[in-house]
Amino acid sequence: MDKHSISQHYDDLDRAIDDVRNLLDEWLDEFGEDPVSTWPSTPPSGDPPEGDSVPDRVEEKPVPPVGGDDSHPSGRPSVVRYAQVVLHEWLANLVQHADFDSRTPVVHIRIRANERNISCAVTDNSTGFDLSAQLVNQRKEAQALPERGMGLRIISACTDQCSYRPTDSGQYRFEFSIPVDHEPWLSMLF
Amino acid sequence: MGFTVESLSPTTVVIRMGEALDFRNADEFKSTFQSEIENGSVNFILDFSDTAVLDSTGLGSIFSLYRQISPDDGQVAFADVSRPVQVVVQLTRTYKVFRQFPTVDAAQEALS
Repeated sequence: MDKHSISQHYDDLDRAIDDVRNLLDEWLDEFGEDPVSTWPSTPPSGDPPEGDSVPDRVEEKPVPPVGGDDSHPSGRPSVVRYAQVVLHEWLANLVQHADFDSRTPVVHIRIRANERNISCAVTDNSTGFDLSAQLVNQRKEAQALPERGMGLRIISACTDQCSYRPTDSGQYRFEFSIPVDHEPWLSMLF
Repeated sequence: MGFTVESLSPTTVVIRMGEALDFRNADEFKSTFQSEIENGSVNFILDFSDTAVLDSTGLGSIFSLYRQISPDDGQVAFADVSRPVQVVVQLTRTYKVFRQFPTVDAAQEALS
């Protein structure tokens, strides 16, 4: 396995949550918190992420703007942090709400990173649900300082695109990507 | 690992949040602060120095605390906020609701 790709299979979702976070912590240890840090200029071994072309070299990115009420007090976080948030929220959502129809929950998690983005896919054996409809409901029912119903909205804010669709093998796959220059705080939650 | 409570005054407590506040222990956190509210606490300093995870359910439980103590002029302050927690605070803009302090001592001084 290339060190900038992760592919893991779990039949214990609780363990998956903690294990994936720890694996991504290792990436943070390697690259630090710089949101546009030096990902490898060569693609990971194997196929590149779906729909992605990998540039020949790492392009210099502009320094993120600083200042104003909404700027991060200690600099913009690494995109890896957002991937951790999204994966935690998604797996927590599966644990709490998914219908596995008496089957042991099983997930396969694939994460790939290059100098432009992180892309992830979480395939599960649940009966699935309509992500877009649920997201619309969460937005419609949104209230200030809610106790529940923030998870999918956080996922939506952290990603530039996400989907949850059935696979050819009868499972469901959640896919998302986050560009390194993503600014999720532009999406207001309150 | 549970939540550790330290009383600073009859109305102010520090809760050491430990490694995580998420869907797996949010109910335990709610039981913890509920006991303190029943004992007269209205100011809560949440120490996030060791916290690697704060998820939406955990954040929702903090909102629940805030809703309960704010009618009594109580406050919820965040102290020594770890980087993972800071990411969620920034993302959800909750820094507009909960004051943040670099240390528990600084929070205590501001709330006293």
